[in-house]
Amino acid sequence: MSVFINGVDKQSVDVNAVQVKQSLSGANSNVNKGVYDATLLETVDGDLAVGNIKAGITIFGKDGTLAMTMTHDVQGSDVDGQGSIGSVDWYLETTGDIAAGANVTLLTTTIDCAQATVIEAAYFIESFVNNANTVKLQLYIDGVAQGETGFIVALLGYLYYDIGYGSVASGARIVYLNAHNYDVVFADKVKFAGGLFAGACKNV
Amino acid sequence: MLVLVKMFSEVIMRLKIPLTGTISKYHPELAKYGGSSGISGDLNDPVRPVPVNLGNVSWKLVSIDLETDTAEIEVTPSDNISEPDLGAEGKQKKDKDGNLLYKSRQATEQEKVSFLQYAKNLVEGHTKDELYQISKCPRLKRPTGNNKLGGK
Repeated sequence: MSVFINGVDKQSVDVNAVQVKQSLSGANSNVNKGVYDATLLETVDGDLAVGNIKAGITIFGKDGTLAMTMTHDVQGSDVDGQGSIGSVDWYLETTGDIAAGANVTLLTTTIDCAQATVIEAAYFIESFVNNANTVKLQLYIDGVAQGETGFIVALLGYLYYDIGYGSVASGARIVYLNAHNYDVVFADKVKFAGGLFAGACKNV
Repeated sequence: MLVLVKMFSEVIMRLKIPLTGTISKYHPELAKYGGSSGISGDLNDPVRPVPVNLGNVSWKLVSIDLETDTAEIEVTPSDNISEPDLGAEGKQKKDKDGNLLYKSRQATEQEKVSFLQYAKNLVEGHTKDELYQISKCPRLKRPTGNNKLGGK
């Protein structure tokens, strides 16, 4: 039944013919019957921000920008602690001797993305002691080699691998960043800082 | 061999190279997307091109062919080259521990072409069997009980 007061149509929720003023709360998702003052949802809950929404997802018109982060499980001893450069967690490692012909895991992590994603492996070589032109870095995803660098002689390198649409189905995928010593005679040593991180998950 | 020229005259090359390692799982529903999305590998024996030293090039996986057990890779010459760090007398410098020191410099265009040529000669100048012998790696293995999916 519509109720008019002073000629103005009022909502039917009322107590003793008085409208119930409602308000939203960031503590819950309840939207009770009643009348509300105009507002912005992000004012009600400041956590409704693009930086808190995963990239590729839109909530109430806000396009998420949050890149998926990865947990890192550093292999070997973390000699010099860790810092961060931008959104990447870096781990400084001394690999110790990489035996002749050996393949050593520097970093490993797990990703889980329902759709496609971009895997990026960045590395910074602080110093290396080797016979030159012997050690390369390799990226493995889900037990399949995705690529390999040239000899790590430059001090700063960046590996970027877009593993393509549909390449990562839902479920955990393990990512390795390895160092391979192609010299079958001499061991090599690399002081390495690097990180593995994923870009935005994209919808197919 | 397929040679492509990207923007800014960057020369890249595609090669087909035999695969080693062990397939742990097939994902036929993802195979249509190319790359390696059709399979997963054993983490202790991952699916990979035979580990022959292709020289001062980097490569990215383009596709895997389970009929021929080969990977198509896109090969790019490195921008830098390492060479001995020589002192005033022309002798290679050493650090305090006696290790020989090296320095890096930009590779010339001619050197980059030679890097690609080296990789091409290595892969295309040998048979699949010879590449398995050089790398001391076995042929690609499949999950136990399922050897019907391709493979030569």
